[in-house]
Amino acid sequence: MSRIVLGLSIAAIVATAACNSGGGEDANDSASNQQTNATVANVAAGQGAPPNHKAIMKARHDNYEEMGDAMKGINRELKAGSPDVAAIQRHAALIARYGPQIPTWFPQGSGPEAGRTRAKAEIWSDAATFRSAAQRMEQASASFNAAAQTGNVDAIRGALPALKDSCSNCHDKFRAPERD
Amino acid sequence: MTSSAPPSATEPEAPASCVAVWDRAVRLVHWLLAALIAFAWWTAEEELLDWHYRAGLLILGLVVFRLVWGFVGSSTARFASFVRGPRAIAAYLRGRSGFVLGHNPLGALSVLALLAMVSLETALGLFASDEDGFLSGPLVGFVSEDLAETLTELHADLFDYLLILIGLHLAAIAFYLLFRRDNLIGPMVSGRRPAPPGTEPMVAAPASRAAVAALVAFAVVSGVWYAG
Repeated sequence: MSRIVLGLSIAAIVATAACNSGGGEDANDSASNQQTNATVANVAAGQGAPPNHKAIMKARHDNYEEMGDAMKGINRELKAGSPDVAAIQRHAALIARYGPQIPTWFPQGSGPEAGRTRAKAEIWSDAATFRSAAQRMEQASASFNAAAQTGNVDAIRGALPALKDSCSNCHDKFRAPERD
Repeated sequence: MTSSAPPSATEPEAPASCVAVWDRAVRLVHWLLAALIAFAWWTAEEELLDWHYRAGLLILGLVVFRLVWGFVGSSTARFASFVRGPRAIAAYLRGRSGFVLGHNPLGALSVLALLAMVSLETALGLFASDEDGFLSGPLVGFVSEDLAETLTELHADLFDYLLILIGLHLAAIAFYLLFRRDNLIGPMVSGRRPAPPGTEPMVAAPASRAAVAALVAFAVVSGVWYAG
């Protein structure tokens, strides 16, 4: 009897942990690539989003990943003994190039209704807040880029928190968590 | 104990007196680890990464301390006293070993597994980074970007296995409490447990050795923190 209870307890705990680990979804799935070539018939049948939405959803995912990698690169350099200023400038330029584009990455219909995305519906239902958050990030990325161009590591360190805050400002409201 | 069956050799029989089993260091480390691991888990879920980072460093210190203590600490804390081979585990399961003060051969496996998993998880965290590149572990500069990404994923994924081990640990404690009528929680708080007369008592280690272990832990944590 006791062995059955012990076995059931272990099974229950293992099952719970297994269910918790079901996350880690990767948005770069081949299904979205295939649906980029979706025919009009699919759209008429109500299956998924129009082809161009799938493309823009993939593009924005890739661009955001590039920006994340650029931030990681900047952090890495600033932690190093002698930061590679040229590398920081490259990363800063990339972020500043994408900043102004962000509002164009979210056409109507490319939210959760279109498929797997971390873009929350609030982006469209609260468009004014999203727009101002995007503007704030655009300005912060331009300021950081300017600081990076000076080549002064202290100025770069000083300008970074504002950039990070502008990213979080949008993510906190409009990006869904990775695991749900 | 008023059971009519003859008492088994592994259960304490009346009259049993209370003896010291876990020293203060072992108890402190145990409960601090439990609290800090829960806190590290929560701060990761809530994306409070500054606190997660601090919790990770504290866990690192506790783990290093416990590893050192496993070699120089009190008798029941030392790995040499409870790590046993498969034959001893089988004998214990068959009820053929005498009363064991401290970790029995089976419990020893659980201790080793938990310590190993916590150590691994903490070590991986030293190289991890959050997805936005805001905060990264102190040693991330020592590995390539691709390796850092892999180690970050491992740090996140391995936690589920740590959860399974913690679940097994709790299930075992419940089993002993409910079916062996052996309360293991009290002794980990008070440091004392009932034992049959004639049990070899725990031999405490001098406080100076605890200071040495603490110094080693402090040095490791400081070194890691300074490198970051």
